[in-house]
Amino acid sequence: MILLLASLALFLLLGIPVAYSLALSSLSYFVFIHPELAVVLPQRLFAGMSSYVLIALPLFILMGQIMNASGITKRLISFCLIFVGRLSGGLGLVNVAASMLFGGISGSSASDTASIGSILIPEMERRGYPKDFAAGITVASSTMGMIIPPSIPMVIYAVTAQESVGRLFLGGLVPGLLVGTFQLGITYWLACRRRYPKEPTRFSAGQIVAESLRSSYVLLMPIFVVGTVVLGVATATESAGLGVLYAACVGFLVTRHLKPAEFYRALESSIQTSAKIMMIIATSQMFIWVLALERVPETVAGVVVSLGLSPVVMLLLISLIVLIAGTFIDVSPAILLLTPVFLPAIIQADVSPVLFGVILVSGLAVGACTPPVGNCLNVCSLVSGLRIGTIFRAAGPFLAANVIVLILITLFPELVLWVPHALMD
Amino acid sequence: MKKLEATLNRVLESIATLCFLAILMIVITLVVLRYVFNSSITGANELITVLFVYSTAIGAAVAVGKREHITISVVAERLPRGLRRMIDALGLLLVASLNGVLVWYSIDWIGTTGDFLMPSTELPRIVAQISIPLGSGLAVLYCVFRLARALIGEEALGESWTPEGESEKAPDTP
Repeated sequence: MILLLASLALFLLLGIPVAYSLALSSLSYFVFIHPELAVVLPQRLFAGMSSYVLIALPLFILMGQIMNASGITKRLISFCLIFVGRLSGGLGLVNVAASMLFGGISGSSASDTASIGSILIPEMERRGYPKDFAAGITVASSTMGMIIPPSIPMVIYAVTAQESVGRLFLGGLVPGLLVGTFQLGITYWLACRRRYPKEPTRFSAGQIVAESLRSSYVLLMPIFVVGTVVLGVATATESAGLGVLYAACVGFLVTRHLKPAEFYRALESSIQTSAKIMMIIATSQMFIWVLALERVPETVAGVVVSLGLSPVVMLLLISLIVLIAGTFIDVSPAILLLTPVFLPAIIQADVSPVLFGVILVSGLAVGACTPPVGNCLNVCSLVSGLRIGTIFRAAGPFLAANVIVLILITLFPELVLWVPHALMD
Repeated sequence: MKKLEATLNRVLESIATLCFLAILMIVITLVVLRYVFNSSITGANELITVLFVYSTAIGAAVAVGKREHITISVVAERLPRGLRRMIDALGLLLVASLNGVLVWYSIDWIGTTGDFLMPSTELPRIVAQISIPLGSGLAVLYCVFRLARALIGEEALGESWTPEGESEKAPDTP
C-alpha cells in the first residue's frame, strides 16, 4: 500500500496527468507486488469507461454550454436585477442570485465563474465596486453550481457510490440554497458598511410578471431536468439528453443566438472535456481495485470505528479532510479517491451515503476556490486579470458561508435528507 | 510533423464528436420511442455505451497530444527549466510505456474474450474491447510525436500540461 500511495504522490508531483498517475501507480503495484494480476489492467480500464450512467456527464456539460451560447446569462442577470438590484450592493446581490439560478442550469462552477464573471466583473467595476470584491463574490458564488441540481460532481459521486442520482440532486438543493442565502446576507451587510451603490431598477408586480415570463424558458429548465429524474420519467442520462434537446430548442428557436457551427463546437468541446474526466474515472477504477485488493477501505473503516467517534464527529473530521484535500486535488479526482476510502466507514456508522455525497461535494466546492489548486480561481483570474491570492482574499467572507453550511448539514442531516425523503420515498 | 499531428487531431476529434452526436440522437430517440410510440430499440443502450467508450478512448488520446489532461503542476512548475525538461521527457516516456503495456495486455484479453457476444446487440465483444488498444496506441503515438518534435526542435519540452481543472475552465467549456 505504501508503494501504491508513494508512487501516486511521486507521479502527481512530477506533473504527470492525474489519470495517468493513477494508472502508473497501479502498474507499479502490479509490477512489484502482484505481477500475475497485471493482465487485468485493460479490463479495469474498460470497465471504468463503459458506464451507461456516466454518459450523462458529457450530456450535462453540453446542455450547459448550449444554454450559455444561447445568451441566457444576460437574461438571468436582468431577471435577478428586478428583485435585488435596488438594494445596497445591488450588482453584488445580482451576482449571487444569478449564480444560484445558473447553478441549476450548468451543473458546473467553472462555467458559472466564466459566464457571470465576464459580464458582471467589468460592470461592477464600472459602477464603482472594487474589482477584487467583484471577483471574490463571483468565484465564491459559483460554488453553488456544484451543489444546486443538476450537478456534474453529484453524478460522478452517484456512480462511484452506486447511489441514486435523483436523491443526490435533491439532497444538494437545500444546502445550495442556504449557501446562496448566506452569501446574499454577507453581500448586503458588506455593501451597507462600504456604501456600495443601488441600481435604478423598479420593483413592481407588473415588472416581476413580465420579467418572469421573459425568463421562463431559463427558469423552467432545471425543474424540467431534475423533475424528469426525480419522477422516474427518465434516467439521469436520458434526462441530460432531453436537457440538451431543450437547450438546443431555446438556442435555435427562442433566443436564436445559437448557430449550427457553435452547436458543433459545443459538441466537440463537451466530449473532449468529458474524455479527460472519464479517463480519470477509468484509471481510478484500476486504483480503487488495487485499494480494495489491499483492503484499504475496510482498514480505514476499522480504524474509524475503533476510534468510537459519534457520526457527527466523524463527519466533521471527514469534512475537514475534504476541505484540506480540496485545496490540492480537483473535484472529480478527489471524489473518485475519497469516496471508496470513506464510504465503508460511513455505511458502518449508519450515516446516509447521500448525506456523505453532499458533504463531499460541498466541501470540494470550497476547495475549487482555494489556492494552490483552485479551478474556479484560475478561471476568475483569467476573466478579471487579478492575481489568484487577491481573489481568494476577497472571496474569504463569502466562502465562510459555504463552511457554515457544511457544518450545518453535518449537524442537521435533515437539511440534506428531507427533500429526497419527501419527494422520493 | 506539426501538420501531421494537427491533421490527426482534426480527424480524431471529428470521430469522437460524431460518436457523441450519435449518442445524443439515440438517447433522445429512445425517450421519444418509449413515451410516444411505447416502443424501444433492442441493444440501443449497449450501442451508446460502446460509442461512449470509443469517444472517451479517442478523446483522451487527443488530450495527450494537446497536453490538455488534468495535472497538478504546482511543484513541477517551480523546478528549474532544465530539470523541468528532463521530467517532462520522463513523464512522456512513462505515459507512453503505460499505454504500451495496456496495448500488450489487451491483445491477450481480447484474444481470450473477444469472441463472446454482447448480451443485447449480440455483437462480438471485440468490437467494444478494441477501443482500449486503439486509444492507448494513439496515446503512444502522440507521446512519440511530442518527443520527436522536441528532438528536431519543433517544440520545447518543460511546459506544463494544463494545470489541474483548467481544461474545464474556458468560457466555452464548463
